[in-house]
Amino acid sequence: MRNLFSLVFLFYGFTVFGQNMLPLIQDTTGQHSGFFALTSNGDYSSNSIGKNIVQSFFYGGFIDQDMKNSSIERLQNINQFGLDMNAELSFRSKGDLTKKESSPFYNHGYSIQAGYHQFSSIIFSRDVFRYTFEGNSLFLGDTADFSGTRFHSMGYSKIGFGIFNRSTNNSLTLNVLSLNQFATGAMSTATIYQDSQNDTINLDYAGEFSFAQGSGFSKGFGLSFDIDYRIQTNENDHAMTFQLLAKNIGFILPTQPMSRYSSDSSFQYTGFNLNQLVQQNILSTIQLADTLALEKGTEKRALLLPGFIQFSKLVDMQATQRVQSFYGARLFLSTNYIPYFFAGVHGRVTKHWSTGVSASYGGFSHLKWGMYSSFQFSNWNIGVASENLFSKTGESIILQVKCAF
Amino acid sequence: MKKTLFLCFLIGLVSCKKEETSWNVDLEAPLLHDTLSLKNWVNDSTLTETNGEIEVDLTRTLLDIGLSELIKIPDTSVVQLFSPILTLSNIPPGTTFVNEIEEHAVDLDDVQLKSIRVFDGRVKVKVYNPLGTKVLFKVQMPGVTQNGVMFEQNYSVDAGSVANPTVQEEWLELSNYQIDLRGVSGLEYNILQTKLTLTTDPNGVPVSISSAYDFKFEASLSDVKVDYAKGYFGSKVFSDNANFNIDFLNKMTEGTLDLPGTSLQITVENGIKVPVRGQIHYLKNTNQLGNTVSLTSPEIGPSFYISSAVGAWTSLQSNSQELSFDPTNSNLEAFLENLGATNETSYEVQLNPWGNTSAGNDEAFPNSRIKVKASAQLPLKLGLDGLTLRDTFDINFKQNEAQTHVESGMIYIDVTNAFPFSCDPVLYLMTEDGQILHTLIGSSQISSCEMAVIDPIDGLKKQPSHIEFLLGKEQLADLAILKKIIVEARFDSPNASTGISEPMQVQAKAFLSFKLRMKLNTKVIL
Repeated sequence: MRNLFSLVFLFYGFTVFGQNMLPLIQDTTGQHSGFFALTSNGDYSSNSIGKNIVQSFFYGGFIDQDMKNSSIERLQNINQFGLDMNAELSFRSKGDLTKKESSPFYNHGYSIQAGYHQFSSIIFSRDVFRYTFEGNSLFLGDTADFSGTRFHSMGYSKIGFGIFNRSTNNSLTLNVLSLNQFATGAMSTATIYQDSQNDTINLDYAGEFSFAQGSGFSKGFGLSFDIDYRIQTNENDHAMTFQLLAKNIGFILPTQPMSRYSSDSSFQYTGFNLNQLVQQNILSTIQLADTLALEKGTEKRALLLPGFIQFSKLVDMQATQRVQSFYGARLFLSTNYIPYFFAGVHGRVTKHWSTGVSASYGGFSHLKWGMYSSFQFSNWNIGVASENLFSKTGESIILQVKCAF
Repeated sequence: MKKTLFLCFLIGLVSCKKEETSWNVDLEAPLLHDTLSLKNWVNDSTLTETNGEIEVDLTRTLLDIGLSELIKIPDTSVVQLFSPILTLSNIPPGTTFVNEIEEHAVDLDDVQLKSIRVFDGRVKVKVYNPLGTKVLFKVQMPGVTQNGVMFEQNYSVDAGSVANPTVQEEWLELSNYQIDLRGVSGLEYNILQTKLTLTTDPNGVPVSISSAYDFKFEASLSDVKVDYAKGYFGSKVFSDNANFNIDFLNKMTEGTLDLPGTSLQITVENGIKVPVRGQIHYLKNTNQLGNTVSLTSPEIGPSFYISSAVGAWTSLQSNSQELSFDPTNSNLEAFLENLGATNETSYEVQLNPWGNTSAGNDEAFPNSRIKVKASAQLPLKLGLDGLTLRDTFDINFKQNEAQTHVESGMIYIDVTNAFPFSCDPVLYLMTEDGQILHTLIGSSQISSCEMAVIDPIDGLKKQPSHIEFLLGKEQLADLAILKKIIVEARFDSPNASTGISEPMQVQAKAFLSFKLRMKLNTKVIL
C-alpha cells in the first residue's frame, strides 16, 4: 500500500485530473456552491507483466528469476502494458457568469483547471520480454521475434478555462497545453536469429523511433478541450443520469522538429577476424549506424493527445435508494489501448460515508476489481478509490480532495 | 488533518528516493574467428611443397645498392665571365662578342667519370647585364646534349649598370641529358664545359664597354641523379654491421626447437661492370636467455671476388658468388636452434679491389645493382619440446558496479588444428606494475593433429578442441586495475603413440581455425 500512496503523492507536485475515474457521481446538492478539487490518479496495468516487476522499476529492487517466471507464464503472443498518471487541480466558481436570465450564459459558472498528464503504453511480443529480462542465451538456435512491438509515451501539462451549467453540470473547457515529453517507436519487423553454435547473429528489422527535442520543460504547445455532457432519464420512476465525457481531446505541435531514426535492413554478425583486430578496424558508433543502415532525420507533425471518451451511468447522490448501480465504457485515443468496460454497485452506508465496488475489463489488461469510499465532512469531501485491486499485473489509486464553499 | 497531510507529504518524498532497478541476463555472442594457414605464419617467405612436405624458403636482402648510391654528383655551380681588357668605344648596335669555352672541374673524390646520363636534376641559369642597353646572352654547355643537340639558352636582358646589373635567371630540367665530362681535349674526366656569347642590342644605340663591365652567367646544377655512368668508379668499400631483430623469437621463454635439415645461402650479386670483392666477418645471434651462437664455417672470414657484369643496357648480366652453409660445413643447426631474436652480421663489399684496371671503362646502367642476399631453406619438420611462447598485451576494460556490469562469464574457443603441435594456453592478468593477480588456465589443451585420423575428403589430419576460460567474480571485480594480460602458450610436438615430443612434419595445407565466443552473465542496472 505504501507503494500506491507513493505513486500518487509522487504526482502531487505537478499534476491532477477531473472526475473521470470512480466514483462517478451526479451531485446537485451544491448547485450554488463553488469548490476546489485536487484529484490525482496513478494507474498502470498489463495483461502479462507482474506488478512486482513494475514496482521494481518504480521503487527499485532486484528482479529475480521467480518474478520473471511469473510474468513469463502470463505472456501471450501480444502483450500490453500501460501507464496513466495524472493530477489536476480544479476550481469552480460560486458566482454566475451573468445575472441576466435572457443570456445564454445565465445559470452558468466558470471553471479553471491545471494539471499534468503522463500516458505511456507499449505493445510487445513474448520474445521482447524474454530477450530483455533473460538475455539471448536461451534463443541460441532459435529466432527471437520482436515484430509488432510499438510504444508511445507522452507527458504534458495543461491549464484550462471553461464554463459549466449549474443545473445540469454540463461543461466545456478549453485547455492550453505544454508538451513535456514525447517518444514513440514501432518495429513492424524485427527478428534476431542466432545459430546454436553461437557463430552467427542475423538481424532483420524495419522500424522507426521518434522523440521530441529540446532541453527545456516545454517542448511544444497545443490545445485541447474537455466536454462533460449529462443526460437525464427516468426509469421505473427513478431519475437516472448518463454522462458523456470527452477529455483531453486535442493536439500538440512540437516547437522543434522531432528527431527520427528509422531503418529497414538486415545485418549479419559473425565476430571479427584477426586482421580487423590488428588494424583496430572494429566498428565505431558511427560505423555501426552505417552498417545497420540507421537513417537519422527529423520530422515535424502534430501529435494527437491520448485523451479519452467515456460514456457512463452515474450514481445520483440525491437519490433515495441506498444502493445504486453504475456502469459505462471508456476508450483512450491510443492504438495500444483496447476499449474498457466497467460496472459497479454504490452504497450509501452513512450520511458521511459512501462506498462501492466495481468490476472492469479491457484497457491494458483483463478483468479487474475495484473499490472506493467517499467521506463527507462539512464542506470537505475526500475520496479514495482503486480501479484495480487484487491484481498481479497492475495497480490503481485515485485520491480526491474537494472543498466546497 | 494538517498533521496527516504533512505525514503523507513526507511519505511521498521518501518514496521518490528510488533505488536501482536491476536484473540479470545471460548474453552470448561470437567475438573472433579466423583461419591461420602456413601463409600467415611465413608471410615473407615462399612455401614449396614436395611429396606433401612443406619447406619454407626464406629470403632476406641485406644490401641493395644502385648507381645513385655509387655515384653521387654534388650540387655544383660554374661561373663564366666576359670582361674586355680595353675600353671599346662606340660599338655599333648588334655587335657580337664570343667568349672562349671554359672548363670547370667537378669534385668527385677518387671517382673519374667520362660520361653520365642524368635521369633527374635541374640547373639554374643566371645572367648579369651591366650595360646601359639591352644585351642578348647565348649560354651554351658543350658536351651537355639531348638527342645530339647541345644545351643552349638565349636571354634578352634589359639594360643595367655596373653598380647594379640587370639579372635574369631561369630553372631548367636536366633530365635525359647526356653529359660528356672529358673536357675540350676529350681526354680529361669530371670536366664541365661552358661557352658565353654576347650581342649588343641590334635596335639600340652605339655603346662603349670598359674593363669595369662584367658580363656573367652562372649555371648551378642541383639534385643531379644519374642512371648511366662510365669511367673509373673508385675503390669504395661498403661495409656494415647489420643488426636485425626477430621479435617473435624473443617471446620464446623456454623449451627447445629441433630444426633438422636446414641450409643457408648468402649470395653477393654484382650487376655493375666493375670487379667486386666481398667478405663476411661474422654472423651471430643472441636468444632471449642471452645465449649467443656464432656461425662458424670456412666461408666466414676470407674475401671472395666477383668479376664484372657483362653486356650493356638491356643485355646486362650480373655475376654472383654464393656462400652456402649447411650442417656438413657449419654449425648452422645449432645457430638456428638457438632461436636468436637479436641477429648481427658484419660484411663488406669493395669496388675495384685492384684499382683502375679497366682504364676508366667501368660502366653502370639503370638496372645495375649490387645485392647481398641471405636465404634459408627450413623443412617444416619441427620438434617442439615445451617451447613456450609468451607475449604481453595491454588491456583496458572498465566496469562500474553501480552501473550495468558483467558479474561472471566465460570465454571459449573452438579450435580445429591441422598442425602436428599441441598447445597449452594460460592467461595471466596483471596490474600496471606487472603484479599477476589472476591466472586463467584453459580447460584443456589444443590437441595436435597427430591425435586425429586422416580426413579422406582433404587428406588432412584435423583435431578439434574446445577450451574454456572462466571469468569469476574475483577477476571481474579487479577489472579496473587489470592493465596487462600475458598470453602464454606451451607447444609440444608429441608422437601420438608415445606422447614424447619429436620432430614432426607439417602437413601441406596445414591450418588452424578458431572461433572465439563469449558468454556473460550481466547485471542490468537502471
